[in-house]
Amino acid sequence: MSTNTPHGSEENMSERDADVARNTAHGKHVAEVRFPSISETQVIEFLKISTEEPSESYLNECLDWIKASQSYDRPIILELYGTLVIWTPTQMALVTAPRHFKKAEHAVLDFTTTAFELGAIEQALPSAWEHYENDIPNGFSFYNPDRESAAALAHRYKQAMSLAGRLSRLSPHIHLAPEHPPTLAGQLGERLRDRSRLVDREEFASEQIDTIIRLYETAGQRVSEHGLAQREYVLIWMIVFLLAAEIILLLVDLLSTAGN
Amino acid sequence: MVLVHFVENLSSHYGQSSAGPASREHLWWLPVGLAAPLFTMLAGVSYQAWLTVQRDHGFDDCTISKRTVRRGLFLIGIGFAFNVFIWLPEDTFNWDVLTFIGSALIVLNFIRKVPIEALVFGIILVVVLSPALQGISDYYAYWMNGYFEYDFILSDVVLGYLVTGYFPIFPWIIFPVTGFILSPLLFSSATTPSHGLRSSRMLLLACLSMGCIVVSLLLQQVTFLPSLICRRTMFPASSSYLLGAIGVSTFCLFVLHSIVDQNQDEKNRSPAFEIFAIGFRVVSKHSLSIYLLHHVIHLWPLWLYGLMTAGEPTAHWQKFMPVIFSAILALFFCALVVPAFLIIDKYRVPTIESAMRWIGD
Repeated sequence: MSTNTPHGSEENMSERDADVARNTAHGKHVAEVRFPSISETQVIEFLKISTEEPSESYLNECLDWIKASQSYDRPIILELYGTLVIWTPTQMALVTAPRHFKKAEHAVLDFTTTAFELGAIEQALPSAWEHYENDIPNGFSFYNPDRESAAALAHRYKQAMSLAGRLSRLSPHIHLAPEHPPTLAGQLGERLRDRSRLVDREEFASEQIDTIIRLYETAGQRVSEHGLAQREYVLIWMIVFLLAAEIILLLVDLLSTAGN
Repeated sequence: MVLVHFVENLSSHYGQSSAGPASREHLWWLPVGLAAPLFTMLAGVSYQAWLTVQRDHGFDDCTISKRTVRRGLFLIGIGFAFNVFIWLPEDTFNWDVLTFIGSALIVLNFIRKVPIEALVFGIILVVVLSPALQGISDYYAYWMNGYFEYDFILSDVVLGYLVTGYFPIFPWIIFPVTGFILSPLLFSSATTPSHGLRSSRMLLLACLSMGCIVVSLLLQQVTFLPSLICRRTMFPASSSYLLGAIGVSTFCLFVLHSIVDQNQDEKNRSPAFEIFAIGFRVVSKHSLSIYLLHHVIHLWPLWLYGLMTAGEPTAHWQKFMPVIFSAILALFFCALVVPAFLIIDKYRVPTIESAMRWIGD
């Protein structure tokens, strides 16, 4: 078993290629794939079978391997031009001819990276929704004028914007145009994206993030308005105190003169 | 407070101070000038705590204002009654501490929603303005014999209330307002439980109290400034006295809160600490009654004796007995007052505090 660490960004592609090339050997091989940019702990087992034999003959073996490790996810099974891909969020298997292996492996890993990134965004959404209802009144007026509340709102706004940024960066990978002329790797990626409904999921996540951002944008505006109003209020009170001081001075002067 | 009043009223024979006609040379061991700032600052601290309780009970602003004003007016009324019956009618408008605290409560009610920055500005303004007001009103003219003397005319009465009385609004109002501002720092609410935040607040309080004391000491060294600023005098309350008193009062409050209030673990308390805590609790709960009672106990016999022997109630004022005896009497009073009020609590005898709650709430 070896360890493989794919990355979604273009600049890391050459490093990943080297890793993949190093770990891909002819025959049967199980690799551990990590996604440090998404999760430090998440590891996927990747069964790689490079063979000239028909891929159908490996279907049961691959399914047994996935069942053996007690994976409860329903696998996505793809058979395409003699290439077999079985994919779950914890395990995946690729059976193909050695001449296609490198490109097919790239396609599967690219898809996995995209799917995991989207999954991470989807997992982060419920925690954003947790505060949504409580924060709705702040979208109309800033009700808790203390620094902690303002800092909490700012933090949630940053989180929502960060999710939106991540989703935007991911979007080109989800909406990849079909390659022409079609290639095995292109077809694999396209079908995997289609079967895992990445486009729909991206759309749902985007709508949710938009709603959350809209709230925190208005809340941020209210906080800012409150801050400005508070400054004006302080200034007004300072002026009132100065005027009162002047009146007191005059009054005391008047009284002492009257007393004398 | 008890010790100072017993010694000052029964046996004070201090000489005139170089600080001015209103000041006296004090005995080194007598904590003169500490009780009143602490007392008035605690009024602000407890008002903030009381406000929190009222809000937690769901009372609206209007009810809170009414209750505050009623309590303030009650204290002013008690203050006038105290002046008439304890200090005798000629001192009705001497503007002692009770009338001041009553007024301060009403002022606090008006400013309770003012931003802290503006309140701090107001405090600084009062500190800066007070020496000027004392100068304009010719403060020392009212204190020729070491105590406040005034004519029964409107200008003297109003000036006494504002500047020249025992505890005038200027500058004494800074103590309750300071207490009101510092209270949230000292008593963190349920919404700010983090240990780091508490520590930083405590550090801020410690820095504030030490800073005020240091600035007060420095001001006392700058002798070319007017005496109303640089000399440490309680009457008139000079700028250096005000800063020092704020520093010391904050420090005392901070230390006592850390030692007494936060020692909640009753199992680990020593018996001595338990007695200590009971004493604090009783004194804290009945401080107003104790204030009134200790005056009644030592002044009424003095006035009666003076009336009988010399035909003038104040004939023996400040020269009745040696200092050592008056100090022992004060300590004797302090020792008796705690069990006395424990008995009062046990039999639920009405006190001035319960009367205030009955009228105010």
